[in-house]
Amino acid sequence: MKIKILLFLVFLAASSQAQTKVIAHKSHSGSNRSFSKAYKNNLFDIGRSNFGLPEHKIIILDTVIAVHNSLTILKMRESIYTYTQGFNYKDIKKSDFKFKTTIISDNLFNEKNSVQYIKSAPPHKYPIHFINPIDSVVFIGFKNPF
Amino acid sequence: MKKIKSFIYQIVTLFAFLAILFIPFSFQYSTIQSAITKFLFEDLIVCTAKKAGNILIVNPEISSDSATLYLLFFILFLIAVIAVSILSFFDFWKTHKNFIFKAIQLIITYYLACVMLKYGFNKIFKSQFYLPEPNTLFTPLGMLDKDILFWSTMGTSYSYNVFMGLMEVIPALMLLYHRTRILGLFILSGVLLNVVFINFGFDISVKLYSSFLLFLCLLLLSPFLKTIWQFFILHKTTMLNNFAEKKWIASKSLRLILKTIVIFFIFMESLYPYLLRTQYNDDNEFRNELHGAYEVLKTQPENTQNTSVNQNIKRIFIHRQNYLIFQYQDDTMEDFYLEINPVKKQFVLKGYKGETIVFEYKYSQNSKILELKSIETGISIHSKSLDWKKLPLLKPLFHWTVDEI
Repeated sequence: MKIKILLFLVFLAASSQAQTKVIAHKSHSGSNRSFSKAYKNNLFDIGRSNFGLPEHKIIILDTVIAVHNSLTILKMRESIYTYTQGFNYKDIKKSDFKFKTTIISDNLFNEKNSVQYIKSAPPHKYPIHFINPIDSVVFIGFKNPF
Repeated sequence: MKKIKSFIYQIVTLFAFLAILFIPFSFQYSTIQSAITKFLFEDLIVCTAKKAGNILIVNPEISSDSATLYLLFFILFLIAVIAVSILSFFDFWKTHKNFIFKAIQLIITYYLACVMLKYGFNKIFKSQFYLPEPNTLFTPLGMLDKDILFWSTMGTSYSYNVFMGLMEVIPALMLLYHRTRILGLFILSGVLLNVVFINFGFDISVKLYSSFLLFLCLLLLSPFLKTIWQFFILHKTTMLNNFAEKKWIASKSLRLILKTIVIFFIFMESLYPYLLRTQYNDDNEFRNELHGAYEVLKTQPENTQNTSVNQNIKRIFIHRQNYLIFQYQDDTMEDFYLEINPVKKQFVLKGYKGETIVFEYKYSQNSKILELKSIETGISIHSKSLDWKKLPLLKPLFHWTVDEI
């Protein structure tokens, strides 16, 4: 029950590095010329940086696919915009999300574990922070896929 | 003279209050602030820029050190001048202005405390000055701009980040208690002066906002400057007037409830994201498995007809915020936004001109070899992962004596 309450409370979000737009751009070796293009057109993730402080986006984890023992695929949706802490993610339009797929190697989201075991783990052990309850995540390829 | 001073003080205080209300700062709870500011001021800002002549607005969004933010400050200042000029004709204003300005002073104090706690905890948790990315670490020093060099240098010292963070958190906490408030402001003005000069000296684009925070600090200190001068310079016996909430709210219980709520929200704002993540050092935060630096061992043309492609790639970097960077033999860099498709085993690179390049990739955990093959250009790149965390800059060096080196 405690875990469920925690999960309801768990609102978050991709943590982004705290930086200004210019620093963010230069951190991936972006040039001054490409900065003006990225800034003008709000390209890629430039909107995520501002006053040198981190902002947060909502992440919804949809599917977790175990490929083999050391490899797991996460299929998720990331909000295009940042949202406030108490915001109900269900109110966000479909078009305000972009789909993302990430490949990870993690001890919890691992083929060797059962889905029941993963779901009973405390949220801080998850490899990423996501807003939706873990019961709504689809697990494929794990020991006991229920 | 006293009247002019009072008039100017009213204008700057009202301006500070309006700026607090409308600057779209990065608060967790206030995307609404950004929406309101956009609704009220965006057209006015664009119109002012046009009327003023050659003010270039590349992006109408109001963000740190943007032309729109400068214009917003200018407009808010004009509004403050007009409002105070008009209000000074009303009796209501004359009789209640002291009460109103006491309230504004308190709002500014709590705002300053909130912002400084956010910045302070971000430093303590290593979220602001993060560990330099591999591509920055492999860029020759002389090719880095001052701002990213400063940011990266700060990012290499955990202890200095904690110290800098505490230097912001401690005076911010002092602002929350009336007995330590003036001392807190005094310390904070020194801290902020340093921040402002770092931002100007290293061309970091938080110049306007950090100057605004210093201005708020000095504004709150200004009623006490004369007393402080008399004490420290003239060595006179003086006493500071208490800068307390009770001058604004008489009821002790109401004051306590309000203060508890405000402090709770301030701490939620600055600490809640970290409590949720239960990760208190960004250096240890999860990164993509392929994140890192790769030394190119071999580049093969493989029947390419495309001679415009630069094949002199020395290194490849995968950035934690999904970018792929090529470093060429002459140390120039080219970055692309990266989307990894692990099912198709593809890297989809997106350039700033809208171009897309698709690479098929193969990564071996054991040999740490990353192979990229572009069908469109025919280029095949074989690279090996570099242990970038073992670079001298990231080693936790510390010597009490030079003899130990």
